[in-house]
Amino acid sequence: MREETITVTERIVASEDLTHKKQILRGYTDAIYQCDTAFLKLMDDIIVNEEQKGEIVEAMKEETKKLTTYNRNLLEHVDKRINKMVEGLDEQVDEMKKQSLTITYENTPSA
Amino acid sequence: MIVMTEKVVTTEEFRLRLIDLEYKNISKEEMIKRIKQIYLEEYGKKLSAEIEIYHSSEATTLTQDTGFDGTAIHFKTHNGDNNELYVISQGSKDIVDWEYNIKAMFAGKDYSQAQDTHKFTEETINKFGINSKKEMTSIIGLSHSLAHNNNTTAHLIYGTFDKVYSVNGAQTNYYQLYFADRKFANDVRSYFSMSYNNPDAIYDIDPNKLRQFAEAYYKDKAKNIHQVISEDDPLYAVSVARGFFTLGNVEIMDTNPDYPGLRSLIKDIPDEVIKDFQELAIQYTTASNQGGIKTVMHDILGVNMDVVNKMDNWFNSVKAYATYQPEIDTMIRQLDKKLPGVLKRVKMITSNAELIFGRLVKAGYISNAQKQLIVKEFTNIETELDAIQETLSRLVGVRDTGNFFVQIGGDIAAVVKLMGHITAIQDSLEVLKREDLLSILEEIKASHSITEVLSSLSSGKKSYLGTDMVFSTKHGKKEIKVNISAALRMYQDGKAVLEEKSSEIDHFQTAIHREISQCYENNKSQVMRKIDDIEANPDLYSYLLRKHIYFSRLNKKVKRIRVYEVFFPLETANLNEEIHVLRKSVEKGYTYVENYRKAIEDLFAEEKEIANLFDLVGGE
Repeated sequence: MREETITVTERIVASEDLTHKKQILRGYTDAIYQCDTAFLKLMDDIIVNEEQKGEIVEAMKEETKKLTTYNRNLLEHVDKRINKMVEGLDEQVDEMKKQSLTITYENTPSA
Repeated sequence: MIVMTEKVVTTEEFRLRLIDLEYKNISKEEMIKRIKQIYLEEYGKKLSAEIEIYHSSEATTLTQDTGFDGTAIHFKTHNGDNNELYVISQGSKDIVDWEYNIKAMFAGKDYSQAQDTHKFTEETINKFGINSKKEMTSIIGLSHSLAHNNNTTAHLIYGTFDKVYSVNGAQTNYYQLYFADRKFANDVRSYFSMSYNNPDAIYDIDPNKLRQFAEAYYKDKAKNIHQVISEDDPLYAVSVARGFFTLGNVEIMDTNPDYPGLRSLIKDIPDEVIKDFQELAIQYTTASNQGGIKTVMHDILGVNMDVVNKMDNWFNSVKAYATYQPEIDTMIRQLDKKLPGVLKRVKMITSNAELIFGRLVKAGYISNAQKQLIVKEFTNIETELDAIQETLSRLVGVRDTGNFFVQIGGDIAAVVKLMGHITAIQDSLEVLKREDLLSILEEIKASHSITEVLSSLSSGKKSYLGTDMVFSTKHGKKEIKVNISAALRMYQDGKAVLEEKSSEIDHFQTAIHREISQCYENNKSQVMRKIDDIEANPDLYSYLLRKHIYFSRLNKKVKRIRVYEVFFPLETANLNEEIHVLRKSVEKGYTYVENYRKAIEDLFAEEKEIANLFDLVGGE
């Protein structure tokens, strides 16, 4: 009986959507965001009479504004990177589940 | 009895801020932290005493559901003498308390919360082991609102406290004391030659004479009662009613100079009118806070507005009647039950409308147009309630005949009529809910608060905003006000929040490793195990061949499968750079906190005590 071979590329493990990991990791950046918010909230009520513009008061407010923007931009950037990283993982894992294989088989006479 | 002078809590401002803390419902740890900060702000130095806290919810001796809510704060000094135990009772906060309020104050018969105040204080004394060194500990009652009535009544009857300090308190009531204090009652009976057989005979005694007798009777204990009262406080206003008497050293403050205060306005309005007005106002306010006019209609009149709204015309009424007969039936019986009480109170208000609302106009609380509007709406409500009562008197009678046909015919016509009256009442309530009228209530309510009293205690550069301490400074020609309490919280809590952020970043980093790198490795292992299985058991994978070559069941046999495994390394496995920047942002936060501190210190360059506060709080 003659053996024959065939080489094919096949998915050998079922595909799984891993994009839910974005949400899991976003949970952590959300927690960091909560800390930033709680931190900046502590500054809210320090200066009582907002209408009193003084050099020092203005500088303090400016610094608060800068820090707020910096923290917000940073987390936005991290969230984007999370998305990219999870999408990359999802694609790579899916690719890995497809492998090239050679099947050797023999023909047997029908009964 | 020797009464010690307090060494820890020595100012009115500190006492007021302590009482306010009791309302915050915070954990013991948080409360201790805040007390230490308040002490630091008030005295500019660290508290050296230890603090122990015990809450009435932990107490085992309070068995009745009286609504009593209190916290005990024990300041233990290091040398063991001059300890101070404060029992802060909470004032009226919910409907159970307000019901008690009314009962205790107007009927003067219920003293269960005063009993609980005493029991709780005794339990606390045992809990903190103060019993053996009672002479070294001042036991002090602190209170606001209804709690003053509790603390003072307990102090007068049971000698619970060495001292009582209160703000805007509900005053003690000699009728209440007559029913609660047996010795006082005996002396009253003998002094006024009263019979033992008729307990209500007390109400026949001239109230002025009874008040004078009570004041003289309790004069020694009254020396240790200290009160601060806002003359704008509505509770102070109602304490002109029969039965109340104000004991102790009283400091009256004008906390809202825009208004003359309600007391002078209502002093000759009869007790019964005030009582009815207050009962209705409390019922209305509580229900309205819970769910607006709909809840007001339900709680005060027993009316289900969801059903009423479905009966907007005759046709819909018949339909709704068929669908909601059990609900309508319950509603009508509820209405029948609640109506007489409500109607009585509303009539009391409308018949005294000129007196009540006229005074409010004179004092500037409301305008004449607002007064006319209120009186008109109250009169409308009364007319509608009268009409409901008349309809109900027939309707409930018809229902009780048990005659189904009569009942149906009688009900529908009457029910439609009722619904019209109910909707009209709702409309009047909506008018009374107008914002400008509510803002008057808010203004009056604010004068009962601790914060209004605290803010009127401002002096020099120091003032209060809520219960926070504010310092003002001149910078050039401009005055800058800084909330020092908030600044210290920023300095202390800001650092704690940054520590928390740091730990969240650690968690994030661990999660990236777990969710990305480890996930990739797990999947890789899974694929490798599969490859091993395919190569070890090729016959089990003949379906792979069948996907490419057609063959009947037995004419091809898979002999071997060879997998050319290929695994590329994971491309983006970490966010190391981003994590690094996040950590940098924490450092920026610390720098920011220090810069902020420095900026405030610069503002108060001449006030060294401010810089000192930061040093002390930072060293915590």
